[in-house]
Amino acid sequence: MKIEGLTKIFTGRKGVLALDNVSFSVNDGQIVGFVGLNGAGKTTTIRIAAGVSLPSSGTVFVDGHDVVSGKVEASRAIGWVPESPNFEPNSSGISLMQYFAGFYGIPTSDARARSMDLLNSVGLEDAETRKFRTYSQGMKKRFSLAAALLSEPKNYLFDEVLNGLDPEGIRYFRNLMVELKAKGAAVLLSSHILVEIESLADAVVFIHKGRVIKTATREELQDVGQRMVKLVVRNVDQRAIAYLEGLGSVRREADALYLTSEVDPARVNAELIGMGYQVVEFSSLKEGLEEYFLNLIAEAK
Amino acid sequence: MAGALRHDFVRTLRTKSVLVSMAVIVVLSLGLVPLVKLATSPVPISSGGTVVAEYYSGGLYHFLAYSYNTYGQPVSGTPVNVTFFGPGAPPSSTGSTNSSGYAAWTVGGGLPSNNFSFLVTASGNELIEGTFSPSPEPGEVGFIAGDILSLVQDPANSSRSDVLFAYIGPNGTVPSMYRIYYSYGSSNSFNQMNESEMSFLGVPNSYATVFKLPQAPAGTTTTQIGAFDVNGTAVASSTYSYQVVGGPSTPPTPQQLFTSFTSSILSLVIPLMAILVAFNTYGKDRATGVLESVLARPVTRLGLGVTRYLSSLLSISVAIIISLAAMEAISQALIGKILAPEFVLYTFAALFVEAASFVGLTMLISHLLKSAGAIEWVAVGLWIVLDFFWSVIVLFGALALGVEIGSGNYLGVTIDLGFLNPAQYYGLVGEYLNGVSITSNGGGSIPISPATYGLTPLTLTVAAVLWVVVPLAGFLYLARRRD
Repeated sequence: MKIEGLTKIFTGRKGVLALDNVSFSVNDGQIVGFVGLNGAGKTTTIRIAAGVSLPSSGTVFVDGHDVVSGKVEASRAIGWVPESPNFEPNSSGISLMQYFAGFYGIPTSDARARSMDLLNSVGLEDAETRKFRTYSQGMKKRFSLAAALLSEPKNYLFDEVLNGLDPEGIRYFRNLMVELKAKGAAVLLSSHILVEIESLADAVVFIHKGRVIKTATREELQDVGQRMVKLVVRNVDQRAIAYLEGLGSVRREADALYLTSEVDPARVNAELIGMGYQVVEFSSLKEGLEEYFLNLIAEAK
Repeated sequence: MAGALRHDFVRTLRTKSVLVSMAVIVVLSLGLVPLVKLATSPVPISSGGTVVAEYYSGGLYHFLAYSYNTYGQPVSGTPVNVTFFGPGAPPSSTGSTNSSGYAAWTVGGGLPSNNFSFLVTASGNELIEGTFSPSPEPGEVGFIAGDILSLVQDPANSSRSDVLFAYIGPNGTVPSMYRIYYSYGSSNSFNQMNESEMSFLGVPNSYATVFKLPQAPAGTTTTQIGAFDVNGTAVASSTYSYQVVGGPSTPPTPQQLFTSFTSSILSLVIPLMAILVAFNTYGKDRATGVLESVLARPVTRLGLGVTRYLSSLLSISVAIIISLAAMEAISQALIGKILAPEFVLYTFAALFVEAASFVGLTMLISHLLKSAGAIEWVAVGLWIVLDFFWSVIVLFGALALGVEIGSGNYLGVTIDLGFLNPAQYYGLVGEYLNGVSITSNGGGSIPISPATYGLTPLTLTVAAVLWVVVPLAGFLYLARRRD
């Protein structure tokens, strides 16, 4: 999936610039995390990529097909699971699946069996005849996933798909994404659960106020966080703090001192003890994705 | 795509709006039962009458009476009584009409020197009561009771009127020396009747002769009929404003009643059904986001719009057919007759146009408004205005244009404005096929060529195409270009 110069302006009394020249790619066999605050433009980007919203300018290519001018081919190659799946409330799961199968050219004779297989695979084997409106949030997401898998696409858009799921559901989707990646699929995953992004994503796109502020690979992410040392010193005084400030930036929270520095933590510990201080707690930390993201936001502001 | 169309069609046909609309049509049709029973009961002839003429000759008072029904046809067995009052008056006498509608009898007695009173009744109803003056010339008509010229109903066409001229010539001869003329006017002023400015209608060939009036041109506001003697003197004349021209009304036949009722119900319910179907199929899905679950499939916006449009139309067509079939069954059960095939065909075709137009309009509105409630209420509001308040709009439009209410021009304005309203299309087609006429207060009518008001196959076809295509094109344009 290749997103190029995507811009979206919501027209109205006050035109709102929702996306501003957004560009990034999701390659085959790659999971790309899509991170941003509420209203940053994640869902808008994904909706355009899914073909359900129109860009003001820019393009999204899915396997080389423009989602606007080559909508049918692009939609055939992509599966979309929105945050809040919304299907015909009075239709049963199986009838909806068969209906969608028609769009993918799946013969009527095969549509039911294929639909049942997919519903079974997502854990909806006992709910296929129930009306969609009776589904729980988790079931709706599973159903949406089954519908997305109908054509076995090579590209997936998961928009906050882990929100509202129970631990079992989260694990199911996590494993699914890993499976899809292993099969060579391209997955764009937007989520507020940054721990999941951190553990799954091969790259992360950070978006803020409609603009991509950072794109980082997994390798880059491993190094992006600065090293931090947490110290609890019983007889701390100005001399100790002056020493630490000579090594890096120091932040004090209650009894703890946080030193952000590339200096070897063991050396800091040893020198403080040598200076006569009682170090009762010492731990080496690394700035997480969350802190990194918040720092990026702060910088963007 | 066929599968998608089938799914949408079945889903739409099962929606409450379609099922309820069909139920409403059937239930309302059942409401016809008491009306049809009323229509099938014997209805007394309310029009028709008797004309009695008198002349004095050879020492005898001669009486000739003609009794006729609503069509001007003879009525036998009508008792006619002539009573004179006063000293020297001739005795009372009675006649009874024969199978030709005539009664002729004489009463002896000399001409009195003074005037005396008389009363003429037919079937016990007073025809005339007056003062009799002795006829100055023997053989000349002394008095005439009843209408010499009257409008009767054309037996072959209930919407047309004929003219009955009932009179006698000198000495009781057939009044073939008179000429009957007519004229149609377009102004509201009543001109002095002048034979030379009127059109010849015919010459009587019996004491009572029925003449057929030709079609009135558009804009006719007055009709004048006159009977002239050889000197051009009118012996009888009638001038009618547009409103009162026409034959006596007859009660509608049960089939006419049923057809009219069917038209009213369907033309009211089908547009509403189209709106609700389009809303449920497209507008609501679009506003609630359900449509996106379909748009995420390999289908273009245009394709999705067309599929939903076609499935809506297909569902409504089936609903119309089912409704008509139900009405056929009710018609068969009530009056033993099915609806006329021509009526069924044009009803379906015209309602299809209305439905297509309202489906297109509702889907168009779905792209202009964001909330489901707003879409539904604006669309239903449009239906209320176009179906219920249209006559008020036409009325104000006519007043603004300075057109007199009830005139021929008003009819023209009504038809012209009807072309601007898809809910009026069925009515326009009906007026084209059944003819345009002005109904008089007395129940009569003057038929006018629909083409005079622009109701032709061409204009109706163009209107149909525009009402189907324009909303559809607007809807598809927005469906492709707007989120």
